[in-house]
Amino acid sequence: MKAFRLLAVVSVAAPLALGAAGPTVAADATPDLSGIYWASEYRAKIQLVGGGELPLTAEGKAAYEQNMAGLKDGSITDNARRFCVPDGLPRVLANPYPFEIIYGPPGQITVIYELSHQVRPVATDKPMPSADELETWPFYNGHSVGHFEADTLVIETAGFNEKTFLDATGAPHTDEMRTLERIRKISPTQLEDVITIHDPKYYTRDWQARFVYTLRNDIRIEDYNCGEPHRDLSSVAGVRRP
Amino acid sequence: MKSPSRLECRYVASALAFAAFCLGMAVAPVSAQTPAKNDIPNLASKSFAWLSGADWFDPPPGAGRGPIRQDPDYPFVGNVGANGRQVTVRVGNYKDPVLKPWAAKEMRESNEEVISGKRAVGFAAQARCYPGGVPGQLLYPAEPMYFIQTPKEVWMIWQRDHMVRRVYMTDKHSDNVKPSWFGESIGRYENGELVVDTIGLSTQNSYIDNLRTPHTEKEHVVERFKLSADGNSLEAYVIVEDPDTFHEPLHMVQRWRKVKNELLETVCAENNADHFKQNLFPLPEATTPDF
Repeated sequence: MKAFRLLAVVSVAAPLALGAAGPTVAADATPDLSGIYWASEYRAKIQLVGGGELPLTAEGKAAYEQNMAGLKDGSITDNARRFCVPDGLPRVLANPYPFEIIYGPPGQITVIYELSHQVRPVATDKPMPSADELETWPFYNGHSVGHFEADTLVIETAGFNEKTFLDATGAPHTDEMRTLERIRKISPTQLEDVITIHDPKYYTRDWQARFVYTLRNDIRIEDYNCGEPHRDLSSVAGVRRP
Repeated sequence: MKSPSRLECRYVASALAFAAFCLGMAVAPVSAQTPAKNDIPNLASKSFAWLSGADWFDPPPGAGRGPIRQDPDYPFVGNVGANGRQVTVRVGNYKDPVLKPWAAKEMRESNEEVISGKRAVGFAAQARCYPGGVPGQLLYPAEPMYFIQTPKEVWMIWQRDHMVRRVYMTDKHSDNVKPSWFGESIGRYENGELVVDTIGLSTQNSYIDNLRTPHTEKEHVVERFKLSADGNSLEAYVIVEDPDTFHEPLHMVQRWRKVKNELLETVCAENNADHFKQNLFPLPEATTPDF
């Protein structure tokens, strides 16, 4: 796939003029995607663009079945929900809490999720870390680099650990997974994130999922602490609180 | 899900070694400077961060009464600087006359729990993966803190468990502030300092320090973040008012030094279970999933 030929080589993110010392502003040519966003629907099972089931390899199918069985009988703990460790990609994109995109500090776009106060720093001024570094420091949410292509923020992520699922049903991935997100405004108040999953050990082909969020600068991101009551999610279709 | 890999263990070991190294470094006091009134201190970077050495410092002489201290009957010996001595635990001086009776009683009971051995180590937000509140969060040592500054908002991000405080750059608090771990912070720049005013702080498991000094929802905190003249250290002058807890405001200082360090992902809940059966304070846990 063309996108992942880009990932195969060392990708140098286009440097962004995000301002000098102190307060930061986007350069004139950079689309402004900053703000608070909130999904209007939640699905436990990830939905593929174009429909259909996950294109699992035999090894991936075995891992998925093991995850599903373990989550059902309790032998596997969903640590993201139980202990509020980071969700990892793409699961964090599906979460029903708001998040914010910040242009800053200089050389970085920062995405902060209300859920479990997860922070994703997206470097815009350097290439993806080396393979050694990614292997040495695997992160739940991976290591991300980004650049703009016209109206779209393109984020490549690699260097994941294997402690997360792709969704709440236990869809699996390996630590060789790489993702490519294309994030853009599809209307003045709607943000789209199309993520491509590349994980040939568990999936026979690259596949995509799409998430749409509404700009909600009328709200503030709230403090989140595991196990405590949090904000009302009744506006998010598909959320069923136990 | 698999167990931590050898490489991950290497990472944790290197992070701990880095932390121990940093804690051993002195933090220089902030020098006097006379910036222009509207100067904005450059606190934010992706390549540098701010590393503290934990406890409160006293304010300058004559500035006001200082922080609550360790109980002199139980001197504190930390892991860093023990030099062969037996390390001890945090025991706050509940006899400090600045404390209102309810606060002194709560601290004494918390101390007794630790001194008796019922709980081997008293509650400390960072150690048990809880938000540290305001100003207690400023005492997170060993891992750095980052800022993001925009005209309307300032974010303070702690590498440790990616805790986030938000400061809205406005001059008025909201009419109705729902109490929360970090409350509502509003900020402004004044004489080259970032001045942060915070109210609306919840009280459950929330303390102003690592000695388990409690507070009420009347707590009001003003923090003045000031860079040193060379920009290599940062100081926060903090005033805590809480007329239901303290007979007079507490004035205290925290300091950080600049470190070259990009933000890493460190996840508190991974490594802090009660492996040695010390009756540690339970980690935050959702016994039923949030959604």
